[in-house]
Amino acid sequence: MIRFEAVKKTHKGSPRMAVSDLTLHVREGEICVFVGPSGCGKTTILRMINRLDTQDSGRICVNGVATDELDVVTLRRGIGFMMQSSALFPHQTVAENIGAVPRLLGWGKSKIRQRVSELISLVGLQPEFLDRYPNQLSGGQQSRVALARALASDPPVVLMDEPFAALDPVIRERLQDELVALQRRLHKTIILVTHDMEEAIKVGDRIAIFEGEGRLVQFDTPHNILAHPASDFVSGFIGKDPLLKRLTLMKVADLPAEIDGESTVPAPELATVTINDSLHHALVKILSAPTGVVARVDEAGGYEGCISIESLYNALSGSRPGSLQ
Amino acid sequence: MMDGAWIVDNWQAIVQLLLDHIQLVTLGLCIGMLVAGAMVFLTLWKPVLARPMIYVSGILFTIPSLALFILIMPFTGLSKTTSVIGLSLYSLLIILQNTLAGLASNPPDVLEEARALGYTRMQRFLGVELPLALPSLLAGLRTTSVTLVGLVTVTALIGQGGLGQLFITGLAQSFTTPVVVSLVLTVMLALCFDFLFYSINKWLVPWVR
Repeated sequence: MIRFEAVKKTHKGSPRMAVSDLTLHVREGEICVFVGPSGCGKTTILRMINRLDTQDSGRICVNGVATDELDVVTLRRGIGFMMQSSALFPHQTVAENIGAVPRLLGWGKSKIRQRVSELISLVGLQPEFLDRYPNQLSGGQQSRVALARALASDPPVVLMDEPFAALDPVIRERLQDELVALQRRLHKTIILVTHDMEEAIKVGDRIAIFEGEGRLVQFDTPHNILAHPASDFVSGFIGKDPLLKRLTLMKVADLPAEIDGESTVPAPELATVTINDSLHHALVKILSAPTGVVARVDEAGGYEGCISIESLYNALSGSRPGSLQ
Repeated sequence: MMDGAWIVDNWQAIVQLLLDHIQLVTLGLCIGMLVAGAMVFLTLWKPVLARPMIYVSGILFTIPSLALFILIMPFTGLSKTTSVIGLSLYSLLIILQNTLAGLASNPPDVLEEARALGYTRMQRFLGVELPLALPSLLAGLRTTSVTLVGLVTVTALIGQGGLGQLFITGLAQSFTTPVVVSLVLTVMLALCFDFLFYSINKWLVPWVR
C-alpha cells in the first residue's frame, strides 16, 4: 500500500542524514507504527508520504502510484492526517473542522452534514459538540475531533504524528484502545509515529524501529520484536521487562486448552480467567492464587481447563508467533 | 464661557464639518485598507517582503503628521487630496503592521495541518490565515480609525480638517465655544468608531474565549 524505495533525505544545512536509504513496505489495512528516539527521522519519513517533506532521492509509492507523480493537493486530500497537537482550526466549529476536507473536495452540503454526524459518533462524541469551538473542548475531545477530521473523506491511508503524546495517560490509553477497536471496523492503512514503545506494542500490527539518521533497525510484529530484538539498541528501546510486555500482548485464548477429563465446571475454589484476558492478567491471578493454578473459562463461562505458571512459561518459550497476531 | 447662541446659529455648518470629518476618516481608512490588502497579497506571493514591510512601515510611522502633510503639499497643494493621501498613508501603516503581525503570529501547527489536509495556498490564506488574523486586523482598524479622527483635525492647518477648522476659528478669535464644540464632537466621534469596530469584532470573531 505504501512503499518506500531507497529513500534518502538530508535536511538543508544539516551534516547528518535525516533518512538514510529507507526501503519499507506498509501493507494495506495494517497499523504500522514508526518508533524511535526523538530526532531519529521518523516524523520526516511520515511527512514525506504526503509531501510535507520531500526526499532527496528514491521513490515513495502510495497505492502503486509514486507520490511525486500526483498533484500535491490531490495527494494530500486523499490521505488523512493527524498531528500531535490536534491543530484544529480555532475559528471553526467542530462540525466545520470535521467537514474541512469534504468541503475542499466539493461535496454537497447535505452529504457533508450527514458524514459529519456519522463521524462524531464514530469517534465517541455527542452530537451537541458539533456547534462548539475547539477551545471549548478538553484535550481528549480535541483529539477525537482531529481523528474524525482525518477520517472525513474516508481516505484509505491515515497518517498520525504522535497523535496522543500530549494527552494525560488515562485518556491516552483509552484513545489507543478506541483506535484499535475503530481500526477493526475500518481497515485503514494507518501509519502512526510515536516515541513510546508501550504505545507501539499496544496499537501496532507491525512496528518499524528507527535509530538515528532514519536508519530502520527492525521491522516486525510486536511479538517478534519482543521475542527476538535485532540489536542492543532495540532491546534497550523495548525497556526492562520484555517478557511482561509479551504477556500483555498474548491472550488466554492463545494457550492450548488442557481439559482434564470429565469436569465441565471449574472447581469452586479456583479463581478464573476468561479467554479474552491477557496473559499478564492471568499471571497476576496465578501469583495470587494459593495453589498457583487458575481455571480458564470461555466467554460464556464454560470451563476449558486450568492454567499454571508452567503454561505461561511454555507460551513464552514455545513462541508461536503466527498465532499471536 | 459657552455661547449657546453661537451653536444654534451655526449648527448647520457644524454638522457639515462633522460630515466632512467622517468622510475624511472613512476615505483614509478605506484607501489605507485597500492598499494594505494589496501589499499583504504581495507578501503571499513573495513572503520575504513581509519583514521589510513591517520595518519600513514602523519607521514611516515615526514621521510627525504635520511634517508628512507639508512633505506632500508641493505635489498636491492645499487640497483635500493632500489630506486624504496623508491620512491614507497613516492608516496604511497601522493596518499593514497589525495585519502582518497577526498573520505572523498564527499558530504554525494549524497552518501546517491545513497544508497537510490539502488546502491550496489561496484556500489556506482565505480560509485559515485571514480569519485567524481577523482579531488583529480589526484591532488595527480600530486603532486607525481613532487615530485618524484626531489626525484629521491637524489637516485644518492645510485648509481641510473637518471639525479641526473649529479649533482654528476659536483660536483666531480667542473664542472658546467652537473649540469646546469641536473637542466634544471629535471625542464622541472617536468613541463611535471605537465602538463600531469593537462590535464588528464581537460579531465576526465568536470563537475567541
